[in-house]
Amino acid sequence: MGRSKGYRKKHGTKHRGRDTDQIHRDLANPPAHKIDDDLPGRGQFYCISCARYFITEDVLKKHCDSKQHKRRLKTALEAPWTQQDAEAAVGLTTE
Amino acid sequence: MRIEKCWYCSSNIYPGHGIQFVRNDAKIFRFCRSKCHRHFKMKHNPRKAKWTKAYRSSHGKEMTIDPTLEFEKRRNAPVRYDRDLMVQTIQAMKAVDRIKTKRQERFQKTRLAAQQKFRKSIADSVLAKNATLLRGPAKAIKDENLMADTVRVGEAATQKKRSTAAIKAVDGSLRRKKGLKKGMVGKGTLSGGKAKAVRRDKDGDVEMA
Repeated sequence: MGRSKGYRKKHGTKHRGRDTDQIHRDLANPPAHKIDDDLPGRGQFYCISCARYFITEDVLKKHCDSKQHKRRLKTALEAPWTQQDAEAAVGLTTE
Repeated sequence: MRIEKCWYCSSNIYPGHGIQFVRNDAKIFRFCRSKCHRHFKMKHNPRKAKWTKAYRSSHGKEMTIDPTLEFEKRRNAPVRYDRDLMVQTIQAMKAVDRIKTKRQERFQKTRLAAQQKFRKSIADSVLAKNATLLRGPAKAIKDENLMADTVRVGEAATQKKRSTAAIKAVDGSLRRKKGLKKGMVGKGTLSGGKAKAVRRDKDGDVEMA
């Protein structure tokens, strides 16, 4: 008995995907994608807001119409939460 | 020694407590407890969780504008140890904390008082709106055939007058049917002892009661 493996995989930090603040930065300065044979579609069809590679242009387009993509894009466009914000909430500032 | 703030809920993290996550771009995230760490791992937004300081302070649920909150500061330049300064600082910290707690209590009291007032105003408006439901017996009488003359009287009068007029009218017509005189309290009239029996009778057959 124990925690299910799927839960650990999803909520662990071992293979952590890109965070919202990183994606927010990527959206402002889109990263250049070189040809990489290890990635799906040789790393040419990348969705920035979902931090995910696709195999073809068509699949990427289809993905961009999906609800999940739109939702992620919306959250990524918001100002990301930072440690400074957390400290400002209790009135802590740096002198 | 430094008391850090939790990335998620902004609470204090004392030495030896919580957990910190260092991302592969060397950015540090500190968490006061596993609850906050789990929320971070699930990529939740602290602005949306109602229990975090971020939410509470931005929604006016906590005191945010006060000089006592501005004493706590992170100073990156080290200060040379001075015993007198240390003693004074600790004394000041205690005094500031005392004042801060009092002000926070006062803030919560005024906030809750405003809430109570708001709730009461809603309750009052609901009562006023559904006043007809509270006039149960009068409504039951309205269905009866005997009420024909009462409605005419009640149209111009206020709600309260309407209900009393209804009772009077029913009494009067009952008296007429029973052959009683004015002022006499007969069996089955609303002002008499068997008022409940009349109310329960939905068919309008008051004689039966």
